[in-house]
Amino acid sequence: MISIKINDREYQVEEGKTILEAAKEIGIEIPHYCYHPALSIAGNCRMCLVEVKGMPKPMTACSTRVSDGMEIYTDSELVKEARKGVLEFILLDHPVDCPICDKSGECKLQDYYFEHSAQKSRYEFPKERHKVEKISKKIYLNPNRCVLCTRCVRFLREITKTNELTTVERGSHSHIVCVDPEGLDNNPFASNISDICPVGALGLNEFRFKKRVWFTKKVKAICQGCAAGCNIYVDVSNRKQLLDGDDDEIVRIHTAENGKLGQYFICDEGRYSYKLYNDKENRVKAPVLDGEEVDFEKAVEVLKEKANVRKGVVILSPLHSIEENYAAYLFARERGFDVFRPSSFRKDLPEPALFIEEKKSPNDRMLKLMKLPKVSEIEEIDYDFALFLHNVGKVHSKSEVRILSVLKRATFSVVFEPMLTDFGKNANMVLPAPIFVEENGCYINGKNFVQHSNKALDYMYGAKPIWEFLGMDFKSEEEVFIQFAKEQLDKDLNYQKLGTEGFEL
Amino acid sequence: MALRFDESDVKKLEEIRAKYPNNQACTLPFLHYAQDKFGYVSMDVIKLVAQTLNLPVAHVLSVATFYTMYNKKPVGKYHLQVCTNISCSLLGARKLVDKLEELLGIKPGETTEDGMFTLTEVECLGSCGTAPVIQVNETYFENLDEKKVEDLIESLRKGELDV
Repeated sequence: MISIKINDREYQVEEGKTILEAAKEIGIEIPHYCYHPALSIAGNCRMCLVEVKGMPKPMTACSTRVSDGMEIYTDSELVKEARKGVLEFILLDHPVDCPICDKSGECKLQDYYFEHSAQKSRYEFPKERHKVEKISKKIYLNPNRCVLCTRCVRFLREITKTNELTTVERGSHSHIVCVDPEGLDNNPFASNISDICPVGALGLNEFRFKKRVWFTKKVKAICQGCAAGCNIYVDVSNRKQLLDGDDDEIVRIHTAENGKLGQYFICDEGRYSYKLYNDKENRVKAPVLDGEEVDFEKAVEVLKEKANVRKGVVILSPLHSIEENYAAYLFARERGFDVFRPSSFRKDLPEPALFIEEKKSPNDRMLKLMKLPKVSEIEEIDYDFALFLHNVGKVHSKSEVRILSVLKRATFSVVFEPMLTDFGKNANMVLPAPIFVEENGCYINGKNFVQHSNKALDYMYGAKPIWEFLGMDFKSEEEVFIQFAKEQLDKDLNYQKLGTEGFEL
Repeated sequence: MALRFDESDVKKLEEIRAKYPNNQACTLPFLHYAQDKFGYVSMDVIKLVAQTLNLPVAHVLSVATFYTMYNKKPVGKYHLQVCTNISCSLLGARKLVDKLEELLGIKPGETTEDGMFTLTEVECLGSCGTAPVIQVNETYFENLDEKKVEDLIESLRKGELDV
């Protein structure tokens, strides 16, 4: 640890850090475009200029390392002047088309302009213009809005190592071009360049002209696509917030960073998975008993009666949260029912795979930690009562066959799922389960990280948590989680303790 | 027809390669070699160089477009590069450009229809002591004025000069 002074206050910081990183940790925001924690340092945007005592000129905070006794000023007159100058240059050729730009509202150029510049352009010459085009099936490029931070170029060079984008020409003619559109189409991580673009130069074709970002609610959640447990932001359009009469639905999924997990990007499969959750046609809209919709009270009553047997089984799901699974587990334990777990669905990894995991379920590790037997170990399949928890996604095909036979042979079978599948079709009763954004839930990823996913939407279509159908007395999702942590992990945990970055077991 | 380096090219390129620490460092000399061979640096040439050096096309493209001395378009038999940097401008380079435009009927950046001449304005050629200067292909013509330019074009048209 060394001591440095920022704005005349003394701080202890780790040696070897850059000024920008050190300031960020302390909580001082230094504006920047080209710096990104997962990429190499470029130092080309000049936005992070700060004053360092003893240095003849302002220094780039992203590339200057702290040294003992360093005195830094992040809001002196010199720095303010420098930022204003940098922004004036960046905006020389910028079209200022915020009203039709999809980044508007979450654009760094917009934010910094209002915060640090707010002056009229003095430039009187024609602006440099480039063609706006779709450079791949997923992404469009508007070089006119570009600030040439080269985050996209560095991402494709350093992270995916595929080099589809590059800067060409020089000086004021310098701009980004795509040399390999097909490569971008096939790159399983390509859409990240839209997230890391600090301005509106790179965007998703799918989100183009779709929604103003201030009409969405941004909620931090956990991706359900695989065992990696990537942190994501789910943007939902919420009917109650809106005047334009949209339905409650997920508008997009984008990256939420988790430094502790070392995750700064998400894969395209996860990003575009939101469509699965918006599928309203297949949604189970009410409890269904023998092909007929019944109301909630009736469902609870029937369940109570049918579960009053000696030989029952509960099959949990790696696709559901800890809360849903553990409530069902407690229900089984109370009655002395057998509990099993299905194997996760597996999918071959793409090239490059980076952080993607083979197991296509977010909570496989929880069931494993509980040391539950696999469904393949079910010996006697004639149960009086069978309950299976299912969610959007798949389980291993062998498990699927096994579970279907258990459901078919049971005297009374219940499936708890949000979308109607073969499981529901083969059960006596189907209960409407919530999708992951409709409730708080925790998941344990492949690296033993317990992470919390937030509720973004209200329960829709009569969906309710499993404990309400089973007539259990839990007030909130957190109550179930606390009990799980205590009994299974031997830890005193709650949502607050998990924080935004999760807890490593 | 796809472009390729033949055996003698490969041998010469290997000699160049031996002088540099890694492939990336060879980008510039390889591009120069390719420009000499194929006349200009087209997208196909960039791809060929990238393939030869086992580097991403993105890298070679970025380098080739950064430097103005790689011709991205075909040039005429005689590439007239008029220095319009400060010393030459002070001594009348502007007038030389006007004269050339008049003589050849083209603007800077263009090539005559017969493919004989390409006119380009360039930055300092490092010959301020003998300004104004025009570089024709690899040869410098120094201390020029409008009359001398007229003679120069005539000699080039007649094929009297070896540049």
